[in-house]
Amino acid sequence: MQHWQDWPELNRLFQQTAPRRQPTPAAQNQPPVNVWLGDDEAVVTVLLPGVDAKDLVLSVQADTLRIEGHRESAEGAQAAAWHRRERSSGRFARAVRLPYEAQPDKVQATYNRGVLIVTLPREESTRTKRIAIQTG
Amino acid sequence: MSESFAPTAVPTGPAEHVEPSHDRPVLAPPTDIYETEDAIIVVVDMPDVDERSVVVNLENDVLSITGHAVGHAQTGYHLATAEYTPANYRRTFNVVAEIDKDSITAKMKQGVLTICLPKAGEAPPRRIAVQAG
Repeated sequence: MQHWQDWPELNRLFQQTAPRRQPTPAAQNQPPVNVWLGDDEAVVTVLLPGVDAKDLVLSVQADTLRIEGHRESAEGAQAAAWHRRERSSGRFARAVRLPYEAQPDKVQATYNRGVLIVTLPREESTRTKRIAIQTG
Repeated sequence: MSESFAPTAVPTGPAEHVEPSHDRPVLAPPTDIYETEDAIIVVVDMPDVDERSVVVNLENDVLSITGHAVGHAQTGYHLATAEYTPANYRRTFNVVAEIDKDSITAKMKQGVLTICLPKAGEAPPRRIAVQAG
């Protein structure tokens, strides 16, 4: 089946007229994730604006990275009047499955500008090993 | 109620149909606006945006906010899952209250922009008497 994105002209029309929404996972309260794969490690980036780093819990088991946490709602709980309330708050959880097992003790994570970046080195035993060919 | 973390759709006027010259998506970031006794507070989710790229402008009762996501292109890596693309964020709001323009403050913290628009102390009378003809 052809997807509407395969027609550049239709896509362009959509971009102009349709409400601009970033692609999101179907389930709610799931922050969007990008996964970059390299030969020796995977890098997972997650858009999580306005989360306190201490409210984030990461765990790795075999080939699965779990990200859980919660986001506080805006400070204006005591606000005189709300005009607009679009930002989400509360609990969120994501599980990301990698194509190979990671080394749990070597996983590193940083949180900057509201983006979580997790680097997961690949388990040695799962790496592809190149075999030298001997000629006789 | 939307519980998504991603930017949500907003109704756009004719001016919004100007096409950007770049191929990055231009998105409307989710925004909270509330009013306290002495200010209007605008809170905008703009993850991955460096504060130096943020422009906040209040002119003719229109507050405009723009910012550009930095992006994390990893050379030598292959993008296996892509649920978002680095975007340019843009939103405009009509602010009806009288604002003390010299005291507006904006701060960026962990991808969240908070703008404080202090209300003007002595709002000039705006009501115009209508005379019967």
